[in-house]
This record gives sequence, C-alpha cells and structure tokens, in this order.
Amino acid sequence: MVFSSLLFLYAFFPLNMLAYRIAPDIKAKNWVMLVFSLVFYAWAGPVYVLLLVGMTYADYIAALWIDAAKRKSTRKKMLFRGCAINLGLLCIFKYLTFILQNFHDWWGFPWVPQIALPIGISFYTFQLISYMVDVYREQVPAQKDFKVLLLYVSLFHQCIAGPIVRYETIEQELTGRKFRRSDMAGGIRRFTVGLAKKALLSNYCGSLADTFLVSTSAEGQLATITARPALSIWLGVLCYTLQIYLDFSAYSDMAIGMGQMIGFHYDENFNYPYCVRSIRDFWRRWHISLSSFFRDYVYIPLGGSRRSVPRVILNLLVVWALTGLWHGASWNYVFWGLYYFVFLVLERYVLRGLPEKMPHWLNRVYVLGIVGVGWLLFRCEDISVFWAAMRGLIGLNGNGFSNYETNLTLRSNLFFLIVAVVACTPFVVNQGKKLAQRAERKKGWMRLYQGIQMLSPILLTLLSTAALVGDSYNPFLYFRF
Amino acid sequence: MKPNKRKNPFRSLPKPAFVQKLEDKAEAFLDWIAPVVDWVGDQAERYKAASDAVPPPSKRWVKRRKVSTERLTVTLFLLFLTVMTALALYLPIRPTWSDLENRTLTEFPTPTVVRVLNGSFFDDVNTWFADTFPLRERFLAAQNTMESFYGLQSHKVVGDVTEGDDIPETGRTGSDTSQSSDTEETAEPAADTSAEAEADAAASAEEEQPAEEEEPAEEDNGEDDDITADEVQTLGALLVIRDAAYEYYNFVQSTADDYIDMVNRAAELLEGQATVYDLVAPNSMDICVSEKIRKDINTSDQQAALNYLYSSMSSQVQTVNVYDLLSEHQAEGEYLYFRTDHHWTALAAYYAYTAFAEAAGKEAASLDDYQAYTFEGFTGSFYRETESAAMLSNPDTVYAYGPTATNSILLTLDDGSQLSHSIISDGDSLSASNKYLSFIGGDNPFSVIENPEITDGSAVMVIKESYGNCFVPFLVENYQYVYVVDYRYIASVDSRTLPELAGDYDVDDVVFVHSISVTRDSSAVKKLTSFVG
Repeated sequence: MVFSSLLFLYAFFPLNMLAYRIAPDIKAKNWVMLVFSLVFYAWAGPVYVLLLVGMTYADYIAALWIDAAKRKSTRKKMLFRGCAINLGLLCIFKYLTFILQNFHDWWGFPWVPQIALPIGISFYTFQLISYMVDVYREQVPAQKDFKVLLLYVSLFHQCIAGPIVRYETIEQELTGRKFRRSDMAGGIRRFTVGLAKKALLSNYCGSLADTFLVSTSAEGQLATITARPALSIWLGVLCYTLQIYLDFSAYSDMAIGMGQMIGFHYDENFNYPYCVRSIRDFWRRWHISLSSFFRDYVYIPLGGSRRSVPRVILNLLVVWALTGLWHGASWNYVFWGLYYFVFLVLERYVLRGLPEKMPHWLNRVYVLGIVGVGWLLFRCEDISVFWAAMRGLIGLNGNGFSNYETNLTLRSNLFFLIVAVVACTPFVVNQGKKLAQRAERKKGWMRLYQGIQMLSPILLTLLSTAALVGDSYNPFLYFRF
Repeated sequence: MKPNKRKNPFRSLPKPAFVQKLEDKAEAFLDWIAPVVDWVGDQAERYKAASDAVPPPSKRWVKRRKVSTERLTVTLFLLFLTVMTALALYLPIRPTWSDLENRTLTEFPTPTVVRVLNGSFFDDVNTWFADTFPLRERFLAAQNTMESFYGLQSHKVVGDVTEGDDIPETGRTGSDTSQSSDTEETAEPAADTSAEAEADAAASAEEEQPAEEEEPAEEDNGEDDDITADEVQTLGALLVIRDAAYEYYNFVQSTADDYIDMVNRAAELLEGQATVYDLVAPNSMDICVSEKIRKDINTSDQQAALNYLYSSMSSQVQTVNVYDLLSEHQAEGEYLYFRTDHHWTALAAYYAYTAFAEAAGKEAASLDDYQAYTFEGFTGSFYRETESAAMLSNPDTVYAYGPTATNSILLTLDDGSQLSHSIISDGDSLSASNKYLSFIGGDNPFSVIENPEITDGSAVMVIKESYGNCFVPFLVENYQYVYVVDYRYIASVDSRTLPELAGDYDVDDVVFVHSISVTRDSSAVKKLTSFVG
C-alpha cells in the first residue's frame, strides 16, 4: 500500500484515525498503531512481517545487552553483532542477487537466486542501526518494552519509505505524546499538501519525463533515446528532476503530516534542495535523514574531516560509494554516488567558496546542471542509455535542437511545468506566511486566510482523488530502496 | 479560452465549429463583463480605503480567529474524509463497467494461499479499489478538465513516436515477381521483423481489443495457434489537435516488403481463377492534416509509401490508389475520417468503392442508390486513448449506407456458429464507443451477403480488417455474392487458405482492403501471409 492510493486514503487511514480516537489511553493507542502498522506492512507481502519482527527482536535483545554490559569491550562486541545481523540481512535481501550476478558475469558461475526485496528494508535497517549505536553511545537508554520498539520500527508513517526517524527523536513521544488541535490542523495541511504534490504534480511529471526521454520499462530504450532531439532530453531531465524531488518530498510531507496529527514530531527531510548555492549545500538539504545518518554513523566514526587530506578524501569516498549503493543494487547508483563524491571533493579542495561567489544565474546553472545530470544517471540503470542521453543532451545524436512533438508537448504543458518548478521553491510557503502576518493586521485578510486554511486541504484531496482514480499504478520512487 | 490572435500554425486545418463558437462566446463574455470588472475594481479601492481607516484587530481577536480556524480545519476535513470513506466503502454504488474506456472494470480478486502469501492478492485489492471507485467517470472528467489547463494548446502527442524507415523512391523490381519460393519461407522474413514490431507495440503500449469480442476463439485450431493467439490491433502514437486525433504511420521497410510479397503471391496463386485487387487506404494523418504540419513530425509520407507498395506489386495485381481521390474530396471539406476514431467514414469508403469499380470495369452505383442511416454521438478509439474532453463534447456522427436490395448478412462467429444479422444495424442502440460496429456486425471471421436482385452468379471476396466494414455494403450493388473474410480471425473457424476458399466459392474478384497501418504491422502481415498460403 502506498499513501497515495485510494485504498489508503479512503479506507486504511480513516479507519486508523477512528480506532486511534476510540482507544482510551496511550497504551491502547499504541496497540492500535502497532496493529495497523503491521497490517500496512503485510500488505506488500505478509511473509516479510516475520523478517521485520525478527530483526527488531534481535536488535531489542542486543540493545538490552549493550545497556546491561559494564565493560566497554563487551558493549562493542554486542553492538558489532547486532549490526552484523542487520547488515548481513540487508546484504542478503538487497545485494546478494546483484553481487552474484556480477560474479556470474565475470566467471560464469554460480547460480543466481532471484530474491525479492522486502519493502522498506533499507529504511528500517538503518533505523535499527541508529537505535543500537545510540544505545551504545549512551545517548538513549535501551527500550525495555519490545512492543514499543517494534512500534518505532514498524510505524507505518515512516517504515517503508522514510524519513529515517532516529529513535532519539521520538523516544519520549512513543510513550507520552499529547494531542494538540494545532498539531492536528497542521498535520492535515501537511498531509494534504504532500498528497497533492504526489498525485497532481509528481505523477504527471513522471509521465512527461517518460515522454521526453523514454519510459524506463520500455523495450528498445537505447534506440528511442538516440532518436530524441536535444531539447527533448533537456526537458526530460528537467521533468525527472522535478519528479524525483516532488515524489520523495511528498512522501516525507505525508509521513510528517500523519505523525503530527497524532503527536509525533519527525525531523524535516527536505529543505528546498534545488534552491541551493553549492553541491555541498544540496546534500545538506536533500534527504536530510539519510545524509545525516551517513554523517553520524559512517563519516564521523571514520574520523570525519579532522584527519589528513588523503584520509578525508578516502572517508568521503567510502561514504558516497555507500550512499550510492544504498539507493539500489545496480552500478548506476554506485556511479551516481561517486559522481557526487567527485564534485564534493572538488568543491572542498579546488573550488572552495567559488560557487557561492558566482553570479546568481551561473550558480543556478552550476548546481542544477550537476544535479540534473546526476538524476539522469540515477534514472538509467543501463549505462549505455545514459551515455546516449548525454550525447543527445549536447546534440551529438544528430537530431537537431527540437522537433514538432517536443515543441507541442512543451507548449501544451507549459503552465504545468511552471507550477511544478514553483512547487520546488519556498514561494508558496512564503506567500502563506505573508498572508498570515497580514491577517493579524486586517480583518479582511483574516477571512481570506481562514478560508484558505480551512478549504485547501479538502480541495487538494478532491483534486488528488480525481487524479488518482483511473491512475491506479503510481508507486513512490523511493519504494525500491 | 482566450481568442487566439497570434499566427496560427493550424490555419490550414478546418477550424472546428465549436472552437469558433467558443472564441466568439469568450469575446462576447469579455465585453459583457467589462462593467462588472470596473465595478469590482472600484469597490476594491473603496474597501481598501475603508479598511485602512479601521484600527487593526486586537491580539485577542486574532488569537480567537486562529483557534477557530484550526478547529474548523480539523472538523471540516474529518467530515469530508468521513463522507468520502463512507462513499468508498459502500460497495453497491461501485461501477463495474466503464463506458468511457469500453471495458469491464477490475473485479474483486479471489484470495488463494499463494497469492495472499506473496502479496499479489493485496495488490489486486488496491487495483480493484481504485478501478471501481464510486463516481469514477465524474472524477476522470474532472481530471481531464484540470489537464486542459496545463498548457497553451489543445493538441498534443499521445504515445511514443517511432521513426519510420526511409521510403525507397522506386518500387522493388526483380525479386518480388519471382515468387517461386515455397510457402514455408514466406513466413520467415516476418519472423525477423517481429522483434521490431514488438518494440513498436511495447513502445506505443496501446492496445485495442478487437471490437466485438465475446470470447476469443483459442482452442478451435490446433496447428497454427500462434497466429490466432494475439488478436490485438495496436494503435500507433496519436497527434491530437483540438477535438480530433490522427494516427502516426511509420513506414517499416521489411514489413512493407512482406506485405507486397503476400499480395503478389495471392495474385500468382489465383491467376486464371480470380482477379486480385489491392486497396490500401491512407489514414487521416495524411489526408486531413496539412503537409506543413506533417513535414515537421515523425510520420512517414503515406503517398510515397503507397507508391512504393503499388509500384512493387506485380502486374497481375490490380492496385487501387485512393490517395489523391480522398485528398481532393477532403479539400472540398467532406467528412472522410472520424475525428474520434481511427476509421474512415462510409463516405470515404464510397469513394474508394468508385475507384475500385473503375479498376474492375464495373459501373459504380450512385450514393443515392443506397439507404442512408445517421447515428449520432460516436466517440471511438481515439477518444478512448486520449480521453479528450473536447472530443467528448463534440462527438462524431456515423453516416452509414446500406444496399437497398437486402439488409441481411450471414455471419460466421468466432465459435463457428452462424448468425443472420443486418448489414447496417441500428447504431443508436450501440454504446457511444461502439457505433462503428453498425457496419456488417463488426469484425467476424467470415460473412456472406447475397443480393436477391442479381442472378448472374458474380462473386467477390473481400479480405479486410475493420477498415473494410463500411466498404463492403457498397459492393452488394455489383455482385450477387459478397464474401467477407477477416484474415485475423478466419483461421479460428476455417482452415482453408485463400485459393481454396476462392475456388470453393467460385469468386471472380478478390479485394484486399486495409488501412495503411496494416503494412507496418508485422503480426497482421504474418496472418495475411498465412491465410494466403
């Protein structure tokens, strides 16, 4: 089940809210959330619930042992074992096929098993690791109640596509959260904005990207992409860039919104990552929960940036190769990670503060150019398709600048694209804040403000419903990870 | 919609009446509303002046309003969600059939242990829930309206465009006439191109079910079930202009060559027995869309393609080229192609019939000799593909012409059973998307029409796909017997090849009538080749 499915929106979620409302106390409410979360998870394949529960139980025990152990070496050993279980399972389920396939391609053996990826494994494995490490670092006490820990891991808001909520962040709220009407209203707005971003903008951007580039599921992708004129590929990259942000931030918005409705406060996962001045800045604001995970649990333990220059570069290399690999068991993701490694090292040691000093427009070209090409690499699991698209991007495929179909598609979606671009900037939110300030000074503005606040969630949901009906296939991109 | 003052690249197209009407209406509306706009502007200024004079609201007032806003936000949204959920969970109002898409909506899945355990059952529940959502058609219409605001123009390209091969300027010579190669080998070139055709099909990813399909015949024929297995016709990419769509045509050299070989072979096999006529109809892209637009888009030149096809055919084949004829009549503004469907109209088929009669040395009947029918409100395959609101609001009309001598046709259905049917059946009783089925009962493997007023024993056999359906009725005026073979389905009811059939029914003329799309569709040509034998 995905948040943007009608079944979730008009069956699962309302029933969840109803049950939650009826439940008398926090204990019962937690039971409600736990049961609904497990059902939600089981929807993608009931068998993997066992994996989820099993992994959580192993880590629950490991964390208790870490907490109970007096000697540092024992604690370390327990932590090591706990992480080994997690990462081992992650490797088996996510990477084994990939590793064996590569091995097979080079050596002709062994047999390659087809293992289905348990949904959300990348996300909850990282949550569990962060939990154990935090217990080890004595930042949080180990959770004594297994079902609370299981609730933390399986909570359907964030279990299968992030954000990677740290245990520390919601430790208090797991057992003692309060209902506030302002939270509820804010959560509703956040959730519906996310829903609209996904259903109205992201899905359509995706279909435009397919039109301008080539559908990733189509046969003969290479031939099709080679026949595309330059403008088509440029626009395709733009649409995919928009899609991936709108899609993923929509999921985070919905998760944060639903959490807020019942009193969980998750950290922000995106902070307008396309409105940045450098690649470094981009990664501070893109998928924050993931990049901060790698920072806190890989980069800093490796020594961070307080080591010699070669060592720092090595640290960065490790972090970015892993970041790439985390996104998927395919070489293009690894290359994508390394691509950012190159630019981050460049910015750190060669360009230094140069990007920030560029004129505004050049700076945008610099950042968005790199990010856009990065997404193109991210999209093309077949590297030859990526190179064909790159050649087409600079007009080397001999198809001219544009053609009729491209112009037509651009013109007939011009307004949509403008709206989608604006949706990636803080413009609307800023206007909303301005309106809120004005509303405090003028009664007339207050009425308008009230009207928008009350009616926009309903309007957005209705429009999203219209878009979702008949468009029954729309999984979030980040489901693969 | 704002009046379009700038240079219009589509000027050469006939502007649909409703666009003109809308533009006039918009202008009239703007004139009408001008005083209101002025008044609102004045009021706004007065209001601003007045509100500037009012002291700012107190902190308490602001706080109270904010709290009430939040309370109302929550209440209204929860109320809305409750109503919608009640609607969504109240099963009896769920639709089971979509007239718009002409398909049965997903049914609730049956759980099995395996499907529950691997999760596919739950996937199906998701699909079912979304697919049969209450008020589905309303929501789809709303989405359509919303998407019409996405850009500047009301036309677009639907589906993936595939580049055509270059069309040779001269026809093939030499190899084509030496048809001594044995039957088995003719199928091989088709197999070579099938990968390409499959890529086409996957790229366009648009399938059209054969129109009238109760149960596809599968088990009837053991030996060549690979040919009857996939009975889907693919629509290529579409160019959508306002309330009309036009199908792309991409010339595929190898498939065109296979088609030529097939026709040549038919003529050779039937030599001395029957005359073979080949009539490949261009589609609306070339006839209705001006050349100025066409040259910018990736659609192959159909005139060049037809020239190549016809000049490559052996002299035994009587070719009937209707390209220029249809272009001329189109220039007169006649209604030759549906805007919302990929077929030609019966009027275009009539002109094709006159061209055929000329080639066959027969006297073509006048259009007035036929019984005319009018069925309004037709929204066909293009509409299904595009779900265009403009098409829905301006549907096509089916003008049908039936012979006066008889209106009876004997159909052989997919299951081999026979059914007496009307040549032109009542289109008003057919659903909006199915009105083209009023011609000869749609696509059936084999049909016979007998004209009781002619007794000379003359007989013609039409080898067709759906383009032939509105063509067939005209022939009844010239022949005692008209046999109609749909080459896609014939194998399921009759294992005889074309020469055997033509011999058994003692036909004088064999007419191939196709849309030009067939000559790029390797699976169709494969079926034709197998039928010719």
